[in-house]
Amino acid sequence: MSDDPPGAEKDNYFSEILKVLAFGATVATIPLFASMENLQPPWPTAVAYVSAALIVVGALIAREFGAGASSAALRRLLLLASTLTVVGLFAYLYLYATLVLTLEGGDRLILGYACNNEAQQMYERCPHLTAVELSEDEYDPERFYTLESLTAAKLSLVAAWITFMAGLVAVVGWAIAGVKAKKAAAAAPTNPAEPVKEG
Amino acid sequence: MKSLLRIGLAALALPLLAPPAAADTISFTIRPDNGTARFISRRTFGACRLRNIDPWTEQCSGWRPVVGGQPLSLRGQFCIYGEWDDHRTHRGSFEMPTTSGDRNINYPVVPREAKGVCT
Repeated sequence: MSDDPPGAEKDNYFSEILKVLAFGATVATIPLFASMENLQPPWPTAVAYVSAALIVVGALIAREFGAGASSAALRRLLLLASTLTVVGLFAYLYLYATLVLTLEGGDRLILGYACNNEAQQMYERCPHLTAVELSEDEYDPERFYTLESLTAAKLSLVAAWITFMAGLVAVVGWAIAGVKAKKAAAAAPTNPAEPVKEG
Repeated sequence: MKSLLRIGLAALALPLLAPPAAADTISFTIRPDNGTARFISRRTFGACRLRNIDPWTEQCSGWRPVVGGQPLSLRGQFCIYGEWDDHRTHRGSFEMPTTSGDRNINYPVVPREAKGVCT
């Protein structure tokens, strides 16, 4: 026999259904994360670990800044993070479209911003070389572009990706913190003499 | 949120655990076998021409020796040169695909004049 008040059993039943639905939604996100393999920058090769670390750090920062913040402050943070996500995403997509070359076999190469002297004399298309030109020297961009421009291209791709990921994690973190703050505000006593504690 | 994070992190790490893709290889058969052969990338070949160096000679730096029968994992376009004791030569070109496979392409090096893109 349960000592729960009447209606509590029904609430438990619905909360179990919610848990199952949440699990389903979590499982549904697996292909989304798996597809990021093709979207994330080709350099560094361990960028998946960098992204994972970034998610953890981003979530912790979002929690730190979100905990105890008012609804209005959370809304401002959410807006800031959304802007960061959109700007980061478009910057990343622009850089990806101009700097990343996908070969027939699926390998991805990062092109540089400037060709070296020799390549400049040989290829009119410089620095916008295609797979045809790169095939003339083992698809090795270092033989066509200056090392400085290749490094700049790699770093700009990673910077845009990190901006996008950090924004995305902050949006999710602060959106959850916002919902919690609203729930806490709704559950708190409405006596003006008592301060309302949020977060 | 916690389980989502866990699954997200695992999904991000999955691609790193995938085995490396196999690559196509090429091996050369020199006929008659008293000859030697070497190959060079098309860009280096073109760069020598640009510097007024005869790209078929060893003055053009970048030539690599062909070891008969030994499979090489290469990608892209190359020029190949073979020569025999009786002054006969082979001037040709070959291209290796970028698709990852597990094939061995055999390239016979037999005396012949310049053919293909390396002229």
